[in-house]
Amino acid sequence: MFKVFKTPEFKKAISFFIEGIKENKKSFFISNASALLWCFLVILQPYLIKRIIDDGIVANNERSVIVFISFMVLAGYTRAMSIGIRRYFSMDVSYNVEAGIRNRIFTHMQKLAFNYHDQVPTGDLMARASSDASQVRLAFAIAPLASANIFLLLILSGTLLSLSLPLGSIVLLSIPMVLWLASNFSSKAMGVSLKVKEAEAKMTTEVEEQLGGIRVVKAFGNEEHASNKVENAVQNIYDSSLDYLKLRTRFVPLFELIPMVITLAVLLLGGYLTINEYLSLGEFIAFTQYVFLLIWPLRITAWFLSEIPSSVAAGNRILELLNEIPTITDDETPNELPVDGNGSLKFSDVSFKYGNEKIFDNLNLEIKGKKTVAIVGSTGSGKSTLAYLLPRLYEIESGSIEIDGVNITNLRLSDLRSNVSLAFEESFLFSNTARENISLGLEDASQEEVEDAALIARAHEFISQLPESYETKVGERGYGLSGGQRQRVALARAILRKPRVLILDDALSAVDASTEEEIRNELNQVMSNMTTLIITNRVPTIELCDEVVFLENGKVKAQGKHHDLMESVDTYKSLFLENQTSEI
Amino acid sequence: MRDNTFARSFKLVPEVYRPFFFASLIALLGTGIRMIGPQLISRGIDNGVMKFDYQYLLQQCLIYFFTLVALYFVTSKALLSIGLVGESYVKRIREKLFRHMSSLDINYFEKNKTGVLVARMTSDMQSLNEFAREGASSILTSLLTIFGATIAVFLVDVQLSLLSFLILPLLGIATRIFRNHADKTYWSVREWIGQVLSSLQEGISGVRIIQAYSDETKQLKRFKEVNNEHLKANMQSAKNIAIYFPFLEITRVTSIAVVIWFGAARIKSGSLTVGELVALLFYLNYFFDPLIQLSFNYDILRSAGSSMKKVFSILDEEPMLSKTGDLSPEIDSGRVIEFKNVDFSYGRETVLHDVSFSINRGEKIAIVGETGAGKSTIAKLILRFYLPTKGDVQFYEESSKDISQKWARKNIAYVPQESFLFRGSIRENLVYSNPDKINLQSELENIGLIDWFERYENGLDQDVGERGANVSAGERQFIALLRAVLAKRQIIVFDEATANLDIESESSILDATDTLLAYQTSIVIAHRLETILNAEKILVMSEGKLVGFDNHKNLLSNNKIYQQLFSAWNLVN
Repeated sequence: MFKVFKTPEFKKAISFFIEGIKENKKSFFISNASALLWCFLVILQPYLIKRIIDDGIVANNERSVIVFISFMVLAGYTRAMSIGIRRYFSMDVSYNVEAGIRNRIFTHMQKLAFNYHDQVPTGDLMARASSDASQVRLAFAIAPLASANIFLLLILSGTLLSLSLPLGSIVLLSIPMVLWLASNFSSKAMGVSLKVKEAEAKMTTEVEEQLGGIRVVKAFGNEEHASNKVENAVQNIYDSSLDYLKLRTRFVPLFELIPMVITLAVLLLGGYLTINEYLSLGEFIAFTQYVFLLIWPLRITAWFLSEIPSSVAAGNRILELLNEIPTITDDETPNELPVDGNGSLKFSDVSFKYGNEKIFDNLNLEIKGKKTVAIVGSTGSGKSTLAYLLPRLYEIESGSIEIDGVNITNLRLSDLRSNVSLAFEESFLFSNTARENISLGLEDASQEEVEDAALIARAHEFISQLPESYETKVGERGYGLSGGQRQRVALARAILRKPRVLILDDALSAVDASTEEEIRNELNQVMSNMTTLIITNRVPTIELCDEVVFLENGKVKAQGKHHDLMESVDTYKSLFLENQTSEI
Repeated sequence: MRDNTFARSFKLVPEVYRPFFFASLIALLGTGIRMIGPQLISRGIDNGVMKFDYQYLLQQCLIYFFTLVALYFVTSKALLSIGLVGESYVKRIREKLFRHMSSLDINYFEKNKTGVLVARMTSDMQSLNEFAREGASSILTSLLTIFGATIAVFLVDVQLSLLSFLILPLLGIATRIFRNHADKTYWSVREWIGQVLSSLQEGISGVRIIQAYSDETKQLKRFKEVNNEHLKANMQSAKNIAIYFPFLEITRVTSIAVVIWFGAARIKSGSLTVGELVALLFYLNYFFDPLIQLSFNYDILRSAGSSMKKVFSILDEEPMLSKTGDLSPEIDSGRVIEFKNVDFSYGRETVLHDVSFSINRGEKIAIVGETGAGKSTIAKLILRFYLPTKGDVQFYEESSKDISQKWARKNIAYVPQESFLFRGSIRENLVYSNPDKINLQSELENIGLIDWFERYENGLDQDVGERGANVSAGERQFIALLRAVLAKRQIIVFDEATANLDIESESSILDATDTLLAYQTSIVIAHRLETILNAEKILVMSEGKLVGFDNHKNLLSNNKIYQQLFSAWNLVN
């Protein structure tokens, strides 16, 4: 019975829940106190009815009737108030806990490194912050109500026993019965409802994918295929939901049935006792009322118990995320970059893997400060990976990377990342103003600086033509920008920070040729002040660089001038073979 | 849901009419049985307990017992059948909705963000599901119980019933006020949860850029603001309930007090029995308890209603392209594509002006021009994602207005600039166009690309991950391109993603196409010089106009705009 209470998951969830209570002590106390008050007032009601019947109606005493009815009304109104107060404050606790969980998840997610995010799908994290957090909230919302009801059950039991021992014992029998049923139900329901949740998650993934790729779906005329896939997922939800439904409909009416059977037993035995004058009529009727009172506490207790497993599961899923230890963190005694450094880079014996796929194997590379270097290599040779390693977005397996002679693992992450600026090929814009998007990560960038960066990235012109210029919202929920425009915003973002090391990872791939040319000219001036790595296979861009680093098989195959490499390295040359044979 | 959303939602899935009708009947039967209980208790008290007739009491109890057993089976059946109706309803809506979505024109997906559409299929369906699972049966049985209790109360004693219901108008007014407030806060809660979720979504999908730019603090601040607004809205709704709920209780207490007060006097005068008074108290509880239940369910009903409204807004969208045209032009060796004085606008601005050209079978065409010159629009018209605003686009001398969508999809392949891969293996992605027919192994051997996949641990069975995240951008593009080639369509439209793919990989595919699909007409929106030089003919676009259509050599010698473009590409040489 109640297996869930014995699992380690439950213990973990409890300590998690207690934290939530601690953060909202006052409201939690008020809601529980008013729940207790409610509980006493509820018990009072049948007693008052008993007095009305015995002392008033049967004894034919009009004054008693008036007195006790007034008491009943007064108690009833106070009880009503206590319900309102309890509800409000228990909601206060639960919504605060939910919001708190969301804040914590958001904060924690930002600390987890790329390798975590590579493995865990967005939908998964979203589910934890949305539906799992809501499920935990539910437990907090019901808790005061449930504890009051459990308390009510106890007091009711006492009252019933003191009223009449035999009747009381019969009624009390119902309590373990209902609780046994509830635990039985919840242990069965847990597995089934988990399946429903899984089926729903699968459908979400499926829909996200099919709609995300709708252009491909439609281009191949595969709408039917897509619909079928989604319908399969929908069918799965339906099937598992039916299992759940069947289980529910078998159990739920029992919760209503049992109290009624008890009422029946009370009627039968109580009637006998009353007929033989062991009980007064008032007591007998009060008894029936007490039994009636049992129905709700029993149901709510059962409901609470049935929600516990899912809340525990949800709490554990959230904990799993929050307990994930960030792999890339600040050094405890961080060093500073030398003030006069010029951004020289040194990779010594760097090895790196994605899962099992080896990318770099003892890679060695030295780049002098303020140089502009092209990183060239065939598809999948690890060019982008090299870019990610420098700002420590991934941790290397062995070896070391140094900027101006300082190992990057000894630098504060915020220091490192404000000095190494990376413009990605896929430019992500936030649903925020263009200005905010460019000044990402900087608190105090002036409008002038932002515009300067935008000018260099050739983004100023189109941004100033937007409806609200730099204050126009862009991104998913904002003004739609083209791929090339997005890249230019992302480039401005990278330049604005005036980093020591600027990395452009195919950052101009969607920009048309003539604009790219303009940007290249502008960049030339900027780049002379910093070390620039340009990841590209475009000859004109490569020729602009001071030197080329050619990656092959996880190592630096060659480093030098483009023209020299063209002559001396065959595999390098073959990268541009098509280019050479065409009639220029 | 006071408007016609309810009726319309119901009509949308006619399959549930009959089951719903029967479920209601069963629930009604259950209510009827439930109402017998207090009546039996009342008789047991009056004729058994009060008259010291244990035999009679026993008899009443036996009948009561049987009604309880019957009640269990009937309620169970009622819950099951209402639940079934709900589940099949949601299932059908989901299926209908997705089918409808996927049939809509590309145009629709360009106007509506994917995230919003996904929400229609997930979170909106979630609220519908919640209604179907808990709300529907609870609301139905609550209404029926109130209905049954009202009748029962009146059957016991008309005078006392009228007295006890005197307070109801007050409750009515309070309910109205509550509903108005609940509606308002309901909307703000929804609005803010939407913001919270999209802000979260952005925080997760943008996590790489946030980290790379150490923007964590600012992002967290933004998120906290939105999250806090949501909390405030929630607390507002908690306040509504916290005020309305006690009011319900007060009404209940008052009406019970009234019944006991007048009941006591009536018992004294002998016009009411104790049993009847007890029955009245039971029935009054049967009347008020469901009211509480209903106030619990109000938000569920409300959100189900608003979700349905959104569902309707999608179902009301009509796909235009798949409905117009049913012709399948004969594939011959003549003109594959012809633009005749084509104008096009997405809405206000005309983006193509009087464009005319024709492309013959097997030709390799590149489209060049600056950003905004109309390159993509031409591609979209060739894909029949749109129909021209003015003039005509023809395929094999049939107007695109007349040919069927299906024909277009089965004969024109498309490689979008952003390569999209589906979850699953590389193999599954490659055979996407026709999983049953393509013999991947032999096809790849034929075009000599089988070795390319040896770079992966599991070869062709390598898992590409969500949106192909497990392979590099260039590899994604390679797979996407190969997928289109393997579809073996008559026409291929390729929006080149410029710099991702190394030339070696790209040219190996293009070589493959040359040998495998010599008949194939290809149109490339070109960004790379190499691609342009490889094209047989080049369409030069400028500000929505066609300014040149010839081969590289001729264009270079006599087309000014092309010369400018070319010098930009080639400046360094």
